[in-house]
Formats: sequence, structure tokens, C-alpha cells
Amino acid sequence: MIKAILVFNNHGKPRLTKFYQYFNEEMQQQIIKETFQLVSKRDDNVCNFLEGGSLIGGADYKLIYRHYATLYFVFCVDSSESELGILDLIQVFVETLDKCFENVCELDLIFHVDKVHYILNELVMGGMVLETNMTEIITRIEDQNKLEKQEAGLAAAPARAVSAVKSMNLPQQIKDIKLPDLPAAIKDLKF
Amino acid sequence: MSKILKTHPKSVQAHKDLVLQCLDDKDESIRLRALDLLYGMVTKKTVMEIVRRLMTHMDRAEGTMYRDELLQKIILICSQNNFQYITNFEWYISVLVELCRMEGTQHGGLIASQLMDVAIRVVAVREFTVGQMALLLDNAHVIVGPAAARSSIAEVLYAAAWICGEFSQLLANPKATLESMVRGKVVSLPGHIQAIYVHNMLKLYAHIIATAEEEDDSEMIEEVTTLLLERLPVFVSSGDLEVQERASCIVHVVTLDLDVWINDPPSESEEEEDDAFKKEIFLRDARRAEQASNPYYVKSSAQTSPRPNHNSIQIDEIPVAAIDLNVSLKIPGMTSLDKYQLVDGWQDGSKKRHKKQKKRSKRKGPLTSSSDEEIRQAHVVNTDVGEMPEGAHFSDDNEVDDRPEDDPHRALDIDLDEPLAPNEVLPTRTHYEVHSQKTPEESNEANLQPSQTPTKKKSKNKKDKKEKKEKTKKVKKEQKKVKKKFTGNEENLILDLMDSVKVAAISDETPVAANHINGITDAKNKEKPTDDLDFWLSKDDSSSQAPSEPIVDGTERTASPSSYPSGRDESKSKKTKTKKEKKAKKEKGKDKSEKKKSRKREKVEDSSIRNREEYEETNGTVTQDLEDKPVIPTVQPNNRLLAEDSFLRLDPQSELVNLPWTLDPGESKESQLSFTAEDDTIPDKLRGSLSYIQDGTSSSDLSLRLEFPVTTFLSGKTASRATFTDLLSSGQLSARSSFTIPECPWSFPEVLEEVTRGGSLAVVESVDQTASLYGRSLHGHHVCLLVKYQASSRLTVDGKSTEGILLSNALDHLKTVLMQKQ
Repeated sequence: MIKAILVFNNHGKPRLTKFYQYFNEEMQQQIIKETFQLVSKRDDNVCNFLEGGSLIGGADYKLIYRHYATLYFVFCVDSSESELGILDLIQVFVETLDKCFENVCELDLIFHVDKVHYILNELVMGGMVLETNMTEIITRIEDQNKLEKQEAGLAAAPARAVSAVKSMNLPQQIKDIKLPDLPAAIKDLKF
Repeated sequence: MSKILKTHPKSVQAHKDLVLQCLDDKDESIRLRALDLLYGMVTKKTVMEIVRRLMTHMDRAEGTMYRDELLQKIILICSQNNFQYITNFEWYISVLVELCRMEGTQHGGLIASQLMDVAIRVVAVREFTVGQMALLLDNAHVIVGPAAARSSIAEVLYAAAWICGEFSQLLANPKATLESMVRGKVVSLPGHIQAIYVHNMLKLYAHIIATAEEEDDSEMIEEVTTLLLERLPVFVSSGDLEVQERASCIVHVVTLDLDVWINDPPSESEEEEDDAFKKEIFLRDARRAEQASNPYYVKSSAQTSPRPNHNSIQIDEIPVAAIDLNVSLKIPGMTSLDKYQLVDGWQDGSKKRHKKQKKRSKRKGPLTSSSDEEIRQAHVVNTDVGEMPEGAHFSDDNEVDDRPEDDPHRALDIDLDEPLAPNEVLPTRTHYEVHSQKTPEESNEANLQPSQTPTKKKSKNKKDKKEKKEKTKKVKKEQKKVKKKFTGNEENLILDLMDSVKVAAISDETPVAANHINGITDAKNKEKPTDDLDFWLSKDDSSSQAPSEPIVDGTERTASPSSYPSGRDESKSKKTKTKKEKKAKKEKGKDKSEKKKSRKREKVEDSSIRNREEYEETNGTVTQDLEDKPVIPTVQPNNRLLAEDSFLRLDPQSELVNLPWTLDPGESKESQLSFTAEDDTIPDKLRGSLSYIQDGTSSSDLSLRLEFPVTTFLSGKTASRATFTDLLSSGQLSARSSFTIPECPWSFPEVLEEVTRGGSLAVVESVDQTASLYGRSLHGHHVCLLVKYQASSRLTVDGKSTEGILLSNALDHLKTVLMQKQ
């Protein structure tokens, strides 16, 4: 089971944190700090699997991390998860993010925090891995986006109305009015 | 591989060299894994070498968990299978002693137990061991160094003291050892260690006495006695109870007459006595505790018999749990240790137990031996209900509820699995439907949402608004009126501006306006070298802007965007915020109806002063002064401004703004005007004209036009990263919109500058070619933007806001601005 998913940047600022086990606020902050300290010391060519520090559960838990340009993605897992599998999961996660937001960067994670959580929830739920196939996940997310757009219909009505009004071209429309034909009886009347 | 190790050690051994190589890898994880594997690699021949390598590692690895791990592993490796692989115990003892010198380890207890283990079980080495221990004791101060607090290395002293006491006959110089034990520094050790010290002091003492007696060395006896008596009072007054007790007993013993030794004091009854030692004097608890810490007491030794009151102790627990032991398992006593054939036969015994031990995990030390199994058999786990207090009975099986009907506890016994009965459903609030409204009103509602109203006035006014709005729903154009501010100084400035010249769009930058004005004047100047009023727009973002007044009539309206229904302003309570502006503009072709409206407006304005002030307080933080370049063409003297309005003859306060100046040539003056903005989500434009008199002759007009894109209503002042993040994750930002410019002519820094111009939006955070921005409108709507500039000069702007219209207008504005070339 996955205990926590943390994403932080090179300076230790957390960009995304998701805990699948209850920790109070302080504990969470400490875990983030500790994890950052452990992970930032690693060279880039050493093993991606770390025995966790004392804080996050001790003996059984491992930290599996990947370092992309400015972000560290760290998954804290226990012994029931395969390390290579989790490594691959991190890759899937990042690629999905990239597909959904072009050129995803740190600020995207903050700005689109809800979307990021949706994607993460497709991947992992309650500490268990749900889906590892990227195309599947992307399909689901796109379905969700569509639904959202539809539902936004009501709230977006005023905005749409305003834009419709702006783009209305009255003179043209008046010119385009098609009057119905006169009824036959009158049509033939001649003055 | 570690898993294979358990079942097929031979196959793992084949890779021994590789594993040993891995030990030297710079990646810590690899080293740890290699360590794990080393279990299987050890053979009699290799163990020394492996341990040596590990020790060198330890020196290199600086004070980390790794060192600790190493230490533990070393010991475990060596001690597996009852020291199966160790041929030279002297070597092992020296390894252990060296390990003692490690600072900061958490495994002092482990070392200690190993020491004791070996000392007890391997008689051949005892002498050597005892010698080493004596050395240790002498150098106790080295071990109890500055790092002692965090480590349990002091436990080693525990072992050392005990061993010395136990095997005191093997000591080369018992007196010296005794002296080192009573040395003053000892009191700084933890309590249980001191207790052992004290205890063993007595043993040593007795031994010394015995030998001295044999040799008739009464001098020695006296020396030692006095030595003890001098030093023991320190212990007697120690804080630890155990130490106190023991020390006082010893004192007692020592001061006794030699003849009294034989006597059996009444307090101690059950112990057997050794002739040489008088342990009966100790209280029973002290005794038990002491024996609890020495499970290796064997009957056959010369010591007093053990008392199996406290039982199975795992080897790892011995030093730590010396006093506090109260495990209630029952062992068939130390008799099990008899099977444990010591000394000569221990090798055989160990082989028999091999098979049994293979089943156990490697973590336990070898000394968990057969006593372990007996422990398991004898230990009955109480899985029944167990003891219960009187009168209580097991209620899990109660099907029948035999409590009285009105027992409150029965009432609380609710079965949560059943669905709710109709009478149990809590009343919930449902949507209140109002059927009398017409649809336009509802959309009015929607439109009016953004403006927050602190008072009921607004709601009342909304209704009025709705009615009016219905009438004028079809009006699309928007024009503004100036609402002048009621300040103390009624500087009524009347500016009457002509319609003819359109001034270029004025956004937050006012210099543009000035230039254009100047341009206009220049054009006109061919005829009249007039002066011009300089008015800069200095914008105070906290101030509001003019409400757009509805104009019912269909008179001249220039092609400007939609206007509001007429009645709107009348009934609104306005939020006014001061804004320094210069121009007051009016519409041309107003009706008389407007005059009436303006009157009403006045009244309403009065009532809204309060609101105005409220808002002023809250928003008065950001001020931006944008000054126009004052350019005044040459001017003739005697220029006065006409304080007259061309078509609005109403009371001047409402429609006209007077600037009673006289401008000399080359002079520039500034004036302030304020605007009220009721709706900050829609961009506005203001037109007006400025009339001036020159040379006392005629009045001329300049027409002006001010544009207020929605961004002017925004202020980025309150942007902070934390609020930004909270806002985004809170779900308040229901409106979302975005646009993309495939070929943006600006560079990223320029884009940023443009977007943040005028302080309407502020950068919260910027990384590479992306930035997040924040702005807050006058009425408190939040706007969050994410600007991304990609490699192919492709610009994406995403926006989230609490107010959809505001957002879409803001984005539209930004888009138009950014699409233009610089």
C-alpha cells in the first residue's frame, strides 16, 4: 500500500502532497522536510529506492523517488508494493500530467490543483494502485472534462449571454430578416 | 536474494565476492542490502575478514544510522548459531571491546549482552575476558564520554562490572579493579549500572577479603575495608533507590564483625548461602532483581543459587530490564539451563539445538536456546474472557434486551443498519421556489451578484433595478456618467466636452490620454494657440469608477458598448471609492428625464456616503499615480476655464465638474475626480468633453474618452503565495476560462510586465517561462491567472475567478492587448 505521495521542488517546497494515512499537520510538515532532506542528498546515479526515515513508519516503508528537472516525485510505499512497479507508476503519472497540461510545470500543479488530484485519484485510491494504463486514464479524464463543461452550463450563462450580445450584429440581422410571402390573395392585388 | 538466503544459503554463497564488492559501493542502499546478504556468506574462515572489513567501514562512515546498522550486523553475524563460526574467542572479545569505543551507538546493550554471554559460556576465554573488562573499567571515563547521553554504550560498563565481580577470582589485581569501581565518576552513570557496580563491589570485596584471609594479610583487609567505607556513603545517598539499598547493605556488611558473617539474619530466609559471601543481608527484592539480570547463574557454580522468580528474558533485554522486570511467564526455572551444557560440553549442546534454532528467525541471539522452547510450551495464552469484576457478565451474546423500557441505555441501543423510518428523517432545507419572478429578473440577479452589498438596501434596490432593467433590456450600448464625489470642498468642476474628437483608448496608463489630448490640441492649435488643461489621470485603484448610468433615450449614442437600463442607478446603493480622476464627462443629448434622475441620484448618493466610506477604508491601500506628461502649448494669458456646462443645466454637482483654474502658458495643473463603479465586472467607457476658454473669447471643447477595461478594477496588492494556494484549492473559483495566442509578439518578461501594468495583477510566483498571478477586484472577486509562455512563442493564459463575467472580460482585454504588436 502506498502511504503517501509527495511532490516537491528542488528547494523543498511541497507542490503536491497526498497522504493515505492519517497524520496531523505537524507530522505532515515534518515528513515532508525529512523526505526532502533524504532525497536531496542523493546523487542522480544512485538507487532510486530509499529506506525511509524513522518518521514515516520505520522499518517496513521505502521511499521510491524520481527526480525530474525541478521536481522530486516521491512515493512512500510498504513492502507489499513492487519497487519497479511504483517507479513505473511515477512515470505514468508524470506523463499523464504532461498530456493533460501542455508542458506541465510546477505552477501547473498549484494552479490546476483539482485536476491534478483527479488524475491522481485515477491512479491511486486509498493507497492502492487502481490503474496503470495511461490511455485509459486520459480517456477518463477527458470524459470528466466534458462533463464539467456541460455542467458549467448554468453558471456560464451570463458570460455566454454577454459574449453573444457582443457579437450580435443588428443591422446585418435586420437586413437578413426574411419576411414571409404575402398570401396569394393579396399578392396578386394590383394598385 | 535475502529471501533466497533463508532457504538456500549455498546458492547465495556463490556470489560472495560480488557481495563483498558491493559493500564498498558508494550507494548506501546497496551497502545495506549487501550487509543483509552477508549473513549467508559467513564461514569460519571468512568471518574474521568480513568483520575486519566491516570495522574499517565503520571508521569511515560518519555517525549515521549506517554505522549503527553495521555494528548490529557485525554482532549478529558473529553470534549466529551459537557462535558457530567463531574459532577464536579472544579475537571476538577484542572485537567487542573495540566496538565499545564507537560513539553514539544504540546497541550498547547488545554489546554488553554479548560480552556477558561469551564470558559465561566460554570458560576458556574467561580470564582474558576478565582482564579486558578490568581494563574497560579502568578506562570508564573514556567510554562515558560526551556522547554518553545519547548512546547506550554505558551498558557495556554494566557488563564489565558484572563480569569482574562474578569472576573475580580470575582478576589479576582485584584491588585495583575495586578502586576503579569506587571511583567518583561512577555516580554519573545511570542508576541500574550503578546498582550493579555496587553489587559487584561487594563481591570483589569479599573475594579480596577471602584471599587476604588466607594469606593472613590483615593489612590488606583493613585497607580495602576502609576504602569501601569511605566511598560507599556516596552511593548511599544516591538518587536511585536500588543503589541506595544496596550500598547501605554493603556498608552494613562491611562493618559487621567477621564472626557475625556466619549468622543468618532473619530478613533473608530462602537463599542458600555460599560460605564466602553473605548475600542474606540483602533484601529479597534486591536479590531477585539482581538475579533477574543474571539468568546465567548456574547452580553448579560457586555462587549462590539463582532464584527463578523472574523468568524468561531474552538476551537483548537483559541489561535494559534489570530492575523493571516483571514478565509473568513461567519457566520451569533455571533447570532448563542445566540442559544447557556449559563449559566443556557446550559445543555438543549447541549442535543439538541447531535444528531447533533454524526455525527461529535470525534476529534472536543464539542464547534464546532451549529455554525459549520451554518458554513457549509453558506459556499459556489466556484467550478466554479472563477475569472480570464482580457482577459483570458477558453481554455480547445478549439477544434479549432485558433492560427496563425506560432505561436510557436501552434507548441508546439503536441499530444503525436499518434504513431510516419516515418519522426519523430529519427535516432538510429544500430549495424555495418563487414563481412570481420573470426570467429577466433572474438574469438580473445573476448579473448583480458580483457587487457585494453590505446592507439590505441593495436587495431592495435590486428589486427596483429589476423592474427598470426589464424596460431597457434591449438597450445595448453603454455609457457612463460621472458621479462626482461629495467631498468637503465642493469644487464643482464643470467640464463640458465635445463629442467630435475621440481620444484614443485610455487604459490604466494615462500618459496616452494626455498625449492624445495634446495631439488634439495641437491640431486645433493651428487656429488657436490655446492652452490646455492638463489633467492627469491618477488612478487610485482603491477608488471606484463612475457607474454607468442608464440612458433611456435613443439619442445619439456613439458606438460604444452596452449601456445599462435607466432606472438602475437610481435605486442602487452605491459603493463609492475615491479615485482621483480628472475628467468628468457627460453625455450629450440628455433628456430632461435625466435631470430628474440626476436629482434622485443625488439623494441616493447621500445615503450611500456611508457605504462609500466603508469601502474607502478597506480599499484605500493601493495608490497609483500616473502622471501625464504635461505638455502645454504656448498659451496666452487670461485663460480661464468656463464653469459651465453646455447641456446639463442641472445642479452642477451632479453632472459637471468645474475646474476653476487659470492656466498660464507652460503651466500644468492637476485635479482629482472620483468615480463610482457599481459593477466591476464589465468594462466601461466614458466620453465627455472638456471645455475651456481662451483669451476670454469663446469656449472650445475637447472631447475625451476614457476607457475602463475590467482590469482597472483589479488590484494585485494582496497577492501572497499562501492565500493563492488556499484560494485555488478551496473551490471558490468556479469560473474558468483560458485563451491561447499561438504567435505572441512579445517576449515573456514583456508579457508579464504588460499584464501587471498598473498594478492590476501581481505575480505570485514565477518559474522559468511560467507565472501565476493574482488580482482582486473592488468588490472582492478573486482572479487567478496562470501565464505560460512556451518555446514556440505560444502563450497560454488560464484564468480562474469567483466571477465569470469579470474573468471573461479580463481575459478578453488581455488578449486584445497581447495580440497587438508592441
